[in-house]
Amino acid sequence: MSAAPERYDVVVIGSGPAGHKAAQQAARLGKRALLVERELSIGGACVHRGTIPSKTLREAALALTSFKARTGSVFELKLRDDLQVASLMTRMEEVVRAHEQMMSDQLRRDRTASRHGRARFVDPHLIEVESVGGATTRFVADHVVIATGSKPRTPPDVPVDHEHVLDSDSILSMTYLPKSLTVLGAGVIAAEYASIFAALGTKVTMVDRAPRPLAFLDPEIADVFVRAFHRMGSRYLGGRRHAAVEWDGLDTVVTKLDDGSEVRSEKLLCCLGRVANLDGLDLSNAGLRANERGLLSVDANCRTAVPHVYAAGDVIGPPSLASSSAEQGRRAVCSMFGVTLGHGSDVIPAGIYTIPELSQVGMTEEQAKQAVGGCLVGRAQFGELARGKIAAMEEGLLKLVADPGGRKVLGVQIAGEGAAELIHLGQEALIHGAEVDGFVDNIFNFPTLAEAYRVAALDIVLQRRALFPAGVPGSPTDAPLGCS
Amino acid sequence: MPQASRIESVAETVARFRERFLEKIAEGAFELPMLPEVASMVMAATQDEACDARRLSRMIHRDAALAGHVLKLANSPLYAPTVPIVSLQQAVSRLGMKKIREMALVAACQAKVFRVPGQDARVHQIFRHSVATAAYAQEIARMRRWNVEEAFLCGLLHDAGKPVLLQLLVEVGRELDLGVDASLVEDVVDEMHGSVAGRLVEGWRLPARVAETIVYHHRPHEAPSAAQTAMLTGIADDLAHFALQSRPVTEDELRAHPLLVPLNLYRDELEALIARKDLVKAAAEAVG
Repeated sequence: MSAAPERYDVVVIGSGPAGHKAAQQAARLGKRALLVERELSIGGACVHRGTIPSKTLREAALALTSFKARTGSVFELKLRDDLQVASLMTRMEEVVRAHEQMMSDQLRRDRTASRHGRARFVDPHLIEVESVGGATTRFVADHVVIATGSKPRTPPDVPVDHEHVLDSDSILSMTYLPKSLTVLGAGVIAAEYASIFAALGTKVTMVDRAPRPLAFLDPEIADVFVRAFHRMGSRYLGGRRHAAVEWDGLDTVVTKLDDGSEVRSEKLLCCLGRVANLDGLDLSNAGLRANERGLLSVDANCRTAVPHVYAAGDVIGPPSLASSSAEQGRRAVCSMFGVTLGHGSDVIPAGIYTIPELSQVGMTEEQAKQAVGGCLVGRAQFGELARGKIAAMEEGLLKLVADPGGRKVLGVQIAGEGAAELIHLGQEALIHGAEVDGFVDNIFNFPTLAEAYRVAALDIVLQRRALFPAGVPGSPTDAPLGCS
Repeated sequence: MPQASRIESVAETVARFRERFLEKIAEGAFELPMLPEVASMVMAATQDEACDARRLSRMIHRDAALAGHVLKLANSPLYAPTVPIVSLQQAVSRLGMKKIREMALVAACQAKVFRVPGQDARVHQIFRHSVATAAYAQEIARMRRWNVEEAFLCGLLHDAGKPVLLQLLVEVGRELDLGVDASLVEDVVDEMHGSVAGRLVEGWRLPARVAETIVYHHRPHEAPSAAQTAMLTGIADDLAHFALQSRPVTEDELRAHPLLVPLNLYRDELEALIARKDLVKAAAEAVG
């Protein structure tokens, strides 16, 4: 007779940011948690195929381009002819290993059990884990967190072979830099890889039906990206869609577009969305099914339609950021054990690690017009800041969006290096309902890029004074502007 | 001659043969011989102005010796590539078919042509096995999202040491004026083919990982930095033997293969590889 299945308070399936944080939170609440991971090591796509590896390559590309920009003609910088992707990624293994080690140490410290294998529901509370060799072990779970992440979507008309036609899971397996690369898609992953390879000297062509890439961004910010991309010798072909993709059997991937033109390149990267990893989970045995978008539907606390089953991270859809996924994992576990949750802010910044970096939080100009009927927008060009000049960041732009009266901060958008860090000042302003004048009245370090907030705020104050010489109705009278 | 003396004499001859064979290996002047029919096909194809570039590219991808010679030439000062050529695909796309055609012709003309009396079947089997291993290595790399071109190359070249050693055997036989009996040095060929191929490839300016994979494909856990590709090539090697039945490997043995866990190949993925048996066999047999 086989032994009764081991029982856990929580079984977490998947060890990416959402799963790892869920398991960690369960352990901190004194619960017995089991973390199941199908890959050999924990961390999920974020650590092994996505965020961490791509950002490591980006750092290498960025170091090269910014060194060139900052040193002017002092050094004649030319990439070695034999530059290979692998050599740019020398730090990647080290970075990935360190991150993985840190995550493993946390699990060990919290005494969280882990299991290598693929999980599936046998019934709503019974989870079976299949090892690589095919052996199965069953576990009883009082609660389950599904955090299995996502994988690249492969449209049927794009023959991804991971050799000539790659996706975001296989692009970093390349050992040499392609001379040319076609990127299908205009989302975050597409734009990030396109700009990294462009910065490394590959001739990149981005193709998408959208007139400009990163459609969810403020257009001015997206335009900064496009200008920088074109300056690197690459191009964005908007308003077009691939009609056929074919490797010619010799040396070229031929992409026929729906306007009759074609793009020829050494390699192609397909970045046309991601799909949730739900295959093999046998969700129906738990009484669950994917929604029409192939995702799991959850409530505000990440609870699915089956009360003891939660889902977090990419399997529940946007924003699909590592940061928000981790918070969802924590929230799910706190909720299942009745822990009172603080008021989580829905002010989540988006960081896009293109070259240059892009970031935004809160409302864009367009969203503000729709939501509150108008706005005042302050702009600060990095090229006008002392720090921007010193660091040769001529292209940077910070946009501060305020209410129509020019008082309350509604959103911030930034393009330029350090954008993903700088945005947090704007995020705090939004969370605390700060006023534009706060950026003017307080002293910032000099020279810094954060001064862009002050410059943009001053821009708004000047517009406000022009629009409301007698002061904004219902607001304090404007004090005279000091020296900026 | 009395029986005992005759045995002693045979033993001495064998010992002398083995000694000289080992000396030749230690000298390290290896050459990768080409099958005569491949050399003829390449010559015919390259001299035909209408030669389809794709056909020539396919020929290079299907013959370990031709592939090796092309890569060696591609990285040689003669062609002085602006970037090191690390894969066959890269060679084709970077150097262009005009140069590739030229290199194939040079390889076909310059390479030693295989003539190992009595070993023809074995030599052909080695070449077929290399193609099958390359095909499986490529598939596993696709599953794992590892570099497909590199996996293919490692599979194609992993046994390149065997024809080199068999050719050496002929030379020793000729030198000592003795007939060639490969069974006399079978153990040496088995044991040393990896390191011989590794030394051969080292001179071609391929990534160090490729040479290391070839050296360690039978003991991948010992590979200092290329354990992953060595494991991949190791299991592809066994899958290829299974597909071609060039060595008795059963499905059950594959299901219990010790490299499945470190490669994270689940049962269904292995079954998918096993199911490709006929496709791989057909590709290998197309070699001749």
